[in-house]
Amino acid sequence: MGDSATRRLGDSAYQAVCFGVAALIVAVHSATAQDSLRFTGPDAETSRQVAQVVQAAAAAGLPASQIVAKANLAVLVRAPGPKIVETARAVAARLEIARSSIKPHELANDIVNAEEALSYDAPPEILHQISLASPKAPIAVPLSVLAQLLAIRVPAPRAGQIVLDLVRRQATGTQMQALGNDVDADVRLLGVRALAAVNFRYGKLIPTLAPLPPSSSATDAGLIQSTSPGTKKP
Amino acid sequence: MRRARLFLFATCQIGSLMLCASVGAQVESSLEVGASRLSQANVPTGNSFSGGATLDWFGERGQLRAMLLTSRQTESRWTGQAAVFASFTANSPSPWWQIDVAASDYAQTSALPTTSAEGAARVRRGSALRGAALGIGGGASITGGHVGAVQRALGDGWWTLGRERFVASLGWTRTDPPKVFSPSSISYTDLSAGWRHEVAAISVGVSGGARFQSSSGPDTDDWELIDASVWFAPNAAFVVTAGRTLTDFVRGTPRTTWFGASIRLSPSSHVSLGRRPATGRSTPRLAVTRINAERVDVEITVPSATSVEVMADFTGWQPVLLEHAGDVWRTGRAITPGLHRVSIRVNGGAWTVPSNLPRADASAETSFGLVTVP
Repeated sequence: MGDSATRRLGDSAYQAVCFGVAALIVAVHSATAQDSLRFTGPDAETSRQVAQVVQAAAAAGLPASQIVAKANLAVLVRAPGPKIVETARAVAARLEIARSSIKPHELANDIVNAEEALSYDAPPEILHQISLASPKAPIAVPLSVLAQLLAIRVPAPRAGQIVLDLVRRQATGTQMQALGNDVDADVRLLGVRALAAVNFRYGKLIPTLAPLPPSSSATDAGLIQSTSPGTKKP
Repeated sequence: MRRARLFLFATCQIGSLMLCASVGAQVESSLEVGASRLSQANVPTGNSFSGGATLDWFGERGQLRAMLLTSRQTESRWTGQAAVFASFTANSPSPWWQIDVAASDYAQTSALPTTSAEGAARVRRGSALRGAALGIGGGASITGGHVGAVQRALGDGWWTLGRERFVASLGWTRTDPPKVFSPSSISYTDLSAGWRHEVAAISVGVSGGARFQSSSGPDTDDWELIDASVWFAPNAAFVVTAGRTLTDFVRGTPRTTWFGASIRLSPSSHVSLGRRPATGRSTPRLAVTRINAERVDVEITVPSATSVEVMADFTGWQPVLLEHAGDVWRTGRAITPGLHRVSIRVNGGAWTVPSNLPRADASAETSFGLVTVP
């Protein structure tokens, strides 16, 4: 066998190895994706019903792993089967609303965090405004802080306004993270009213942030009126 | 009889606020006692003792303030006022409509009491930080059996710039006060502006305005008000006020000039002064730091622990034993930005929420910490 034949054989073997590795990566990725959608409930009927919800959501292009995550959480806290199914259906419905509320954002993680905010009764209009205020950058962190503030029982209009302003003032993820934690500490450890705490913490943050764009207050009202009325909770 | 009506009014206010508290709304209250140098229409200038109570209720779509004020000017002369103000807005960060209602009862020794009730509908534009509103309203004012109709048109604007808050308003009022105040109906236009500066435990406000009266009285008149409060303890503030107000024909309060000092007491700690329980050393605290696009460091600080585990959505709800260096327990993982639920266990004990995180109740018995990963 000559050198050229050996080289051709070597090239073929190299290509075969590359193809094999690529196939393996695709297979592992596919298996991982399948794993993230695998749910085992406390009984077969619950597992079957949740799997149906998950499959339907995945077929609709929604990040169905969020349904599995919350169903798993329900299992963890020993929720009964019907409650787990109900949770899965509610998450699926919110994911649909979340996706339409934060367009043009399409990242799964953004939709997941919008669903988290909706689960704390964030109005879809607020999500829409946050989405439009940051049309290019991911909005998972602002939506996460919005969910935190709502969990602390900051009134939704004020929580939404502050998060919207944080986005417009280009606050960093770390600044937003600190705001949520500080407000919680003020409320829980000091007994301060949530609204007073968030106003105080936001006031302290303002000097470190960029100024608001001049058109922001005018767009607030305009955006509300232009928000699609079709995004209602099921 | 007058005192009885004031008492009934105050009782109704407290009842309404207890109802608010029972439905889970946020309630804040304060009590104020002080002394002032007071000059009122038809009363000689003198010293007076004053007391007041304020209750604020804040809900998702509305807020309510109830207040009770009383002063003792001489041994036999008392004045008292009870008032409730409420507003309801659309449920959005930039509500475009608002309904306001107000009710007031004013009484003083040897004079007829005045009771008023008003409502207004307003259209808003802007946000809580800056915006404007226009509205119209109406109501009635009752003094000694005389019922006078009230009509109002009002516009106001607000602007928050850092720690400074500015407000301005323009209002038109027409009312039919009883003959003791005016022989005929009165209409006037009020123009006012105010500024408030709040930093840490100090609040200073200045406001003033002018009234342009079109009938039954002097052509123009003005009013001024300045107030300052300093929270010297988490639950107590020293308050100084001075000013001059004009006759309020609707609510029956007379023209007054005063300077006063008081102590304000509140059951809730002021946000800038409250003392936090010593959580730093004794309770576990969790911190997350993004190292790069893939890796996030999760650190839990807890003194004198032999083992620390974390269980979260980013661990697939499987307990993960952390490595430690001193009091800091650490793990590095790939975690997506955004909201995550987390629980920790120290020395194999019960699963708990880190002390520095907001908590979410997953069931009656189980809570998780809500952490934002940047």
